[in-house]
Amino acid sequence: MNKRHVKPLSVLREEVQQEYLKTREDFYESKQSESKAIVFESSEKIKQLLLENERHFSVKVPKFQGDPYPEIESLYVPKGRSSIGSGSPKSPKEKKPSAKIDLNIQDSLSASHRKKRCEKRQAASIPVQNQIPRYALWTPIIRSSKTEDDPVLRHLYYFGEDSEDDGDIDYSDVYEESIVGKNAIDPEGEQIAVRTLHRIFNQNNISVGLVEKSLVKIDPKQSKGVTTSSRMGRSPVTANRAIEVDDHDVEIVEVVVNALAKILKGKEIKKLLHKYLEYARKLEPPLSTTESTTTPDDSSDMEIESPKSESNVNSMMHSYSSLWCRRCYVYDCTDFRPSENRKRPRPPNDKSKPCGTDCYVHLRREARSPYDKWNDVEIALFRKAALLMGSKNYCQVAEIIPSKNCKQVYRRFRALGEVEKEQEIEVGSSSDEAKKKSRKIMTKIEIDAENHSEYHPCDHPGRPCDFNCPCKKGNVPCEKYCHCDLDCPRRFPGCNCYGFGKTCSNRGCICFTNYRECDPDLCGCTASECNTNHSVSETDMGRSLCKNVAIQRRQAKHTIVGVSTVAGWGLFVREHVKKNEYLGEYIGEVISQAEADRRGKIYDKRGTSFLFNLNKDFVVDATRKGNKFRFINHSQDPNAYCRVTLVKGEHRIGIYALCDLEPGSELFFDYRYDGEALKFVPFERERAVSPVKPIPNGK
Amino acid sequence: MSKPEKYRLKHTLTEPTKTSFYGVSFNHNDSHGNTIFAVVGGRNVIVARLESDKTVALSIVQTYVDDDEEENFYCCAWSVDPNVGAPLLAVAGATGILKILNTSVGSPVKEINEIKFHPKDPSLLFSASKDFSIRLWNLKTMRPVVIFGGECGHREPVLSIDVHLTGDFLASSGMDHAVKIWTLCTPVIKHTIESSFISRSSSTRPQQLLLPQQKKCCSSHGTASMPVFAHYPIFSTTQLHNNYVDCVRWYGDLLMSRCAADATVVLWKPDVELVAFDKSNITTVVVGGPAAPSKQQTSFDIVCEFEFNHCDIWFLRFGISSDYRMLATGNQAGQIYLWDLQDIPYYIDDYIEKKKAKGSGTKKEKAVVKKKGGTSVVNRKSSDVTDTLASGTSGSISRVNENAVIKKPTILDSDSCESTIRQVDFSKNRQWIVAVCDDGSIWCWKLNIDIKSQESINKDKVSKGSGSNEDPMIID
Repeated sequence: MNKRHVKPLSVLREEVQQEYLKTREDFYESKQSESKAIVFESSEKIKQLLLENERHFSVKVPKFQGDPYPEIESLYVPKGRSSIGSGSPKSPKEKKPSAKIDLNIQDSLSASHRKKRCEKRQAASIPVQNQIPRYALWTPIIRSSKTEDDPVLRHLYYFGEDSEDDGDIDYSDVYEESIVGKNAIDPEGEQIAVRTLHRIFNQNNISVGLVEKSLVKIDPKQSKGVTTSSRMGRSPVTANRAIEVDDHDVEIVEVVVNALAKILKGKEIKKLLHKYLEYARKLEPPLSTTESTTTPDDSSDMEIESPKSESNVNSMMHSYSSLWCRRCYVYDCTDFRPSENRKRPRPPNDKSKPCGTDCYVHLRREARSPYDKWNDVEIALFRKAALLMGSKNYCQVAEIIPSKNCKQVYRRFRALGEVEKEQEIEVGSSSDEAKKKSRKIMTKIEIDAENHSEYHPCDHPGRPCDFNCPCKKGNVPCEKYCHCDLDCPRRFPGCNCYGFGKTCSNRGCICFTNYRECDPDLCGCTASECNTNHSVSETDMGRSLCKNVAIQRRQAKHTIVGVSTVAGWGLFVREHVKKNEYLGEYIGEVISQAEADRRGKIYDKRGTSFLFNLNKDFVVDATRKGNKFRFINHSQDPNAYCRVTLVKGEHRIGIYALCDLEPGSELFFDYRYDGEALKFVPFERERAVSPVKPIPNGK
Repeated sequence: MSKPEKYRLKHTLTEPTKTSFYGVSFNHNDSHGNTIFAVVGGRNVIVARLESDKTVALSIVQTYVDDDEEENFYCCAWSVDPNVGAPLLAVAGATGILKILNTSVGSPVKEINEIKFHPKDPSLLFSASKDFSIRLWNLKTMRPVVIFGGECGHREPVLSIDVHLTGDFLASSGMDHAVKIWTLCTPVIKHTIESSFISRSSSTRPQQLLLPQQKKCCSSHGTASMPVFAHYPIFSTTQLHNNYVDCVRWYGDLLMSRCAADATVVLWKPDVELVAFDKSNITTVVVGGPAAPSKQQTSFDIVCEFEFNHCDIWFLRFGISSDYRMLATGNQAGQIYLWDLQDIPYYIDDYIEKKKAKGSGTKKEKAVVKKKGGTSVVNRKSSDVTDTLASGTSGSISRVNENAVIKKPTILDSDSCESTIRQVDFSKNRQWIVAVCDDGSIWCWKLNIDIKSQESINKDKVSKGSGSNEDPMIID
């Protein structure tokens, strides 16, 4: 802490006031000249561009020969002359135009002389075009994606000219904030305020970091946003480093900000400070970037012999492995929280077969090993692979490092003294029994499909999955993504429907009864087997295959969107579908219940909603994004039904046929199928219910 | 500087059924020296000619009536058939079907709120519609090319669009209080626009050399005929306006916009670099590679404001003359406000002065959902007497000379016009102003000839040769 002149707070307050006015003055002064320059520049540019365009046009467009605006009558009396241009009417030309327009014209020929005339004009008719049903723009997506809450009311909604009470909708119960109306942001005032802050802090020698610290103190909740936004270590966050904060400094900051808030009449102080930080960082970016790029706190990566280059490789690998999503198999997925960089329990490989001629199995009997040279990249890869695969799976580790074979990997392990654990392999193989045991217990767990919540892999090292476990609380079983022990009794064991005629599509399969799809990693059924036949047939090579995998394999039926037989758009099948067969998935934005309340309020008022309850925490909204299944219409007499199914730890909405369907039949389902669960009225129905009225005129 | 330009009311046109007229547009492409304009509203399209050298200047040329009972036209725009040079009039409205009228042969394509043509290519047409999207169409091949909207697009109906003079950028505004700027320069969009010209219908034309290229683009794109999505604007703000933004226009790199709550046209500068991509460097076409959402800019600087009175409904559009010298807007009281855009520096002074004077606390009213049709009767006579200059037949009086510093807009005002003026447009040489009203009337104002003759000394002025066979031109 550098020494600072300590001013009495009242003086400081005064200072803020003066500084603010000064900044304001300066701001507008500079703005005035800037604006003028901008306008001048702009008008010059316009002149140039206009000339350019004029020249461009005269070259490109030929002069039209003939009268471009002939009288309508003259066009219709002779019946020859076919019309050019696509979209020309098919109506015969000799037909007299029916419509006439009367026009009263008043000419002011001079200051006092006015003349009235009346013109009756024959009008050419514009033929009626076939109109397709309306729809609002939506973005087609192939899988549901999470959308963050937006608790800010950003604009008022319009519900048509004739709805009288739209001004009175109370948004406040669902929206936390509003930037509409009196709450609107004043960007200029904000800029001035931020600049004032900058000046005062500079004068008082208060560094950016200090402001950050005090912000954390003033408002610990909000500033979290700042720290998380920079999780990639790009922007410097001194906040999470331990710097002592002098209480007095915090006080200064507070007084300054409060004084300013008083001038600005109740502006949000915290927001202002955040804005200031943004501004200040922009001004001095190069200073702290270097110091904050220290590798994230993963000390396990940094042990023995770490040359400079290796740490680089490590940090590279770190972002790679920590960003890898195990659930959707992509990097930096947006839907799931980044998995903690912790090893998940992994069943050891039963080492029965050597992986090749270079397998370490052959090596065991060798007494002496030749020396291997490992470079940095290989060492880093080795570390990661050992961490991911477990130190015993030499063959798999070797597979990851292309330049080294299994023997070399084994030797390295031995050199590091890890092979002693080798004996554990034999001991560990008893986990099979544990699996069997847990399977029995599992069947006793009541899974309430109606009342499930979102699944998050549990991670509570050292403790069993008791009442504190998020899985237990959320009433969902532990999944393969959980960090708990492999023999955790809450783990879902998967079904064991192996044998003739078992297709996991009836109550006999515990996956099916628990509203889950079979998991190829867990289930003893044929879920892991390749099924090339698109429509899951009864038998494949004489055996029946698991049918309970349609969503994860995207085995949707061929469907097309067309003009509905009922209202608006509808969805039709193009192939034969048998009863209970999977048709497709209902896809959209996955939003929280709170967000769904917000959106639902608007949708209800509009009479259109694509909301679909997914589980206790989330709702699927297909309004903005979705797939064609959003076009399915409602009917009392449905031919399709939907089922919320847990697929690889994710809830998804599958739509299935209620009866056998012929190609070309339109799909319907009963939106109220699940009581209140489905609030789903198609946008298109609006047209059928209340045909669009012409906009009422002012008078 | 500029002399006050006096406009005189010359013609009024009323339609007995009192159908509202929503749009007016002069044909600026006309090579014949014709001053032709079109007005649309209800099911009617009226094409009329103004001949300055005749005593009765206005003559109705063509009229069209749509057979569709539900149609209600909101907007119109002129273009040219690039092959023959024939004028094309695009009209659209409530039914959401774009109709292209070829006036030379008298034949004609969700609610469409505004349509605009590309400044450089007469066959590219933009439409802003109620379905939250802006679409780019190719009239040559009659197919959609680009859809602007989606992920970061408008969340409510789009009300207004305008294309930058370079044709590289598109500004849009809508009922979600947002103003967005879209670029047309991404490789994907460029490629799609190019390939949209080469299509099944054009293959019969003698453009055989282009065909191999077409095949190439088909293979690289898979579906060349599908429109591409542009999800991410390069600029977006909802903070500028506090209500529906119903009109947005480019002024060079600056933007002018108006929202339903305020009777002001705001001139502002978006904080975004309007630079077209270097075309030469990009050889590979990235499919589905839009600008990253993080690149989106939101800050802006207000340059100045043009204030007027009596306007708190939406769907009221201002007009800028084709040479960007004049700005005009109507209001609910049937008045037209005219600003000389050369006076902008004065308006800036005004604006800054006002801002300085105003206390730091910004008073903003509670935003209310506005109506498209005005329900309240505006009593314009009682308020703002100082600003209202009755012109009627005596012509407008300008106040510019009275006060050298504070510039005031010229107000065109006629006693008999009391209905909401929906749109105002200038003829190419600014000699005529046409305003269309809610009560089905059309008002034609003509620039006073006396003043024009005085002006002709000034070289900076637009030459207004009375001979209509002479092309109007701009002299700088």
